[in-house]
This record gives sequence, structure tokens and C-alpha cells, in this order.
Amino acid sequence: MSEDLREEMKKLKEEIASLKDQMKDVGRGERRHKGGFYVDIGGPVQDYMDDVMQSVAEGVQGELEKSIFIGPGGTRIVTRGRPLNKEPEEPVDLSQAASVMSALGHEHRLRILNELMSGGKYINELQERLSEITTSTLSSHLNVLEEAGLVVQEKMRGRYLITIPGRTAYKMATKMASFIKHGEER
Amino acid sequence: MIWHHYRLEGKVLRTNDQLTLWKSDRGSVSIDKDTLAVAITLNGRPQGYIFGGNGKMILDTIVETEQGAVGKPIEEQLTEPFLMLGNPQDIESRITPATGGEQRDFLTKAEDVYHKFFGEERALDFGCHGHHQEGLIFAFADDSGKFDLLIPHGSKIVYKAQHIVFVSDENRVIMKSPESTVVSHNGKCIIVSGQS
Repeated sequence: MSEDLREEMKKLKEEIASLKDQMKDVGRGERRHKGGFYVDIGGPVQDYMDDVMQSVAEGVQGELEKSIFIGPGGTRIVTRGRPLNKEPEEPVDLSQAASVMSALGHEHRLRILNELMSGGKYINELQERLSEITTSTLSSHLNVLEEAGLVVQEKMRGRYLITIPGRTAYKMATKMASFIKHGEER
Repeated sequence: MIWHHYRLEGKVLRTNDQLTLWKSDRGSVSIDKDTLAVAITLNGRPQGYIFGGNGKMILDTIVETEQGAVGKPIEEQLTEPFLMLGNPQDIESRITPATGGEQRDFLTKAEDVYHKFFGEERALDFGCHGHHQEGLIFAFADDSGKFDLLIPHGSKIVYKAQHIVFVSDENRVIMKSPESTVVSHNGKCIIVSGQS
């Protein structure tokens, strides 16, 4: 009886080991994707598909960079977490970057940009909405934002408008703050 | 096609006051008091002037898009003679014959502007409607000897300079500069980068 039991236990162990191996293969071939699961269709085929997709994406990327402007760095298509553009990027003008970051580095200026995100405004409209900032300080902040290229003022009507770099910079600053806050919470 | 032959008068005039030649939400052209002027006539009637003195041209070549504003205001000091066609009635009453020694020098420069603008033919085709009646044409000589043209007509504006073309009306704006080309129509917008 005990021998039968041992035999049965041995068979079960072998079966469990076999199932474990199969599970490992499934784990390797099946990857979680944003919209669900997809199954790896084999190394060489997958590599070939990757190359084709990369080539197509590089072509599209090239065409987009030639024409469509979305942000200061142009459009970027990323596959598997790495940029397709393998050429070294243009050296960053750090003094200009510092100037932009400096312009962003004041809560009042960020609040001004936030007000301008919903559309151009006259200085008196900004003054009404940001009543805790004095008129002279508001003008001074607007000058800093204008010099950094984040805001532009119409000569005729006098309205202040947020520029494309201004909108991008504001979003970057707020997203970074949110990212850091949530990172700390984690 | 009707060709009209224009003529530059020889009599130099002077503005009695500061004059705003054109003004809208988008821009303005103004000249200071004591600016010299010489009339451009068609069949003996003034059709425009060449002005020389101090003035200013402002044009907000800014396009508002959902992604943010593109472009910047243009502000030019007008120290060299420039040409204006249209709206002479408003100006006639505000200029008087000039006296002084600088007239000859101004007239020489004005003739140069006139010849460059009209060419040797000294004629312009304004189509079957006859002479230029509606809107204004400003021609400002640039550094390369060509003209920056500003043509406002009601809410419509066309501006063509060395590095920028700007066309706008109530619902549409098209701007082409070395940095970008922007086409905006009823809030919809396409921005094409000019950078390689």
C-alpha cells in the first residue's frame, strides 16, 4: 500500500514538475500589453517584425520631423521604451534652459501661466483673478515670462497670450510636481 | 484689363499734425507731425502719397492656437520714405505746402521709391473696377531694396516682408515665417515647422 502511495506521489510530482515547465514557457511567450495579452510568435519572426515595424516607424518619424511641429523637440515615436532616432541629439542650450526654468521658478508666474492657459487676457483681467499680486509685481512677472518666450503681448490690444513653449513648460512643471508628490507617497 | 498711369507730383507737402494712416485691432501705421509728403495722382486726382519723416508701423503677427500662441508683434520705425495708396481724402485736409531746405533731398528719395514701386511703366492694373478705391496699400522699402507690403482692407490684412507672410481675416489666419507655417481657420489649426 505504501509502495503504491509512493509510486502515486512520484507520478504526481513528475506531473507537477512538467506543468511548472509548461507554465514557464507560457510566461515567456505571453506578455502583458496595455490592451490585454499577446503571444510571442517565435524569436526570428518577432525579430523580423520588430525590424519591419522599426523601419516603418523611422520613416514616419522622419516625415513627421520634417513637417509636423508639436513641441520644441518635434514629435517622437518610442518603441519598447527607446527612441527610434539613433542620431545624437542637438546639444542643449543649457543657459536658455536655465532661463526658462528660472522664469518658471516662482509660484506667481506659474499662476499667471495657469490663468493664460484658458486664453489671452488683459492685465486688468489677470489683476482681478490674481488679486493678491500687486500691479507692479504682476507687470514684472509678465516681463520675465515674456523675455523667456513663455508669454507674448499683443501690441495693439495689449492682451497677454501664452505661447506654445509656455504651455509646454507649464505642463512640464505641473506634471513634474505631481510626479514627485506621488513618488513621495509611494 | 485696364492700366492706369500714375504720376508723382513735384510739390512737397508737410503734415500739420500726427496722422494715423491706418489702425485696426491688428496693427497701425502712423506718422509724426512735420512729415514730408508728395502726392501720387491719377488724372490729376490724388490717389496716395509718399511720406518721409518719422513714423511707426505695428502689426500683431500672432496666431492663437489651442497649443498656444505663435508669432510675435512687428514694430518698425519708419524713417525712410514709404508709399501709401488709397484714402487720400482724409489726408488732404491735414497737409499743407512745405517750406524748407530738405525738400529737394526728400523729392529725390520719393522719386526713387515711386520708380521702384511702379516700375518704368508707371502703371498699375487694378482690374475692371478702375483705379484703386478700396483698402490701402503700404510699401516700405527694406534693406535689400525690395518692398515690404502691407495691404489692409477692412478686417482683412495681407503683409509680405522679407521673412514673413501674414494673411488674416475674421476667421482665418495664415502665417509663414522661417520658424513655422501656421494655418488657422475657425479655431482649427495646423502648425508646420520650418526648421529642418
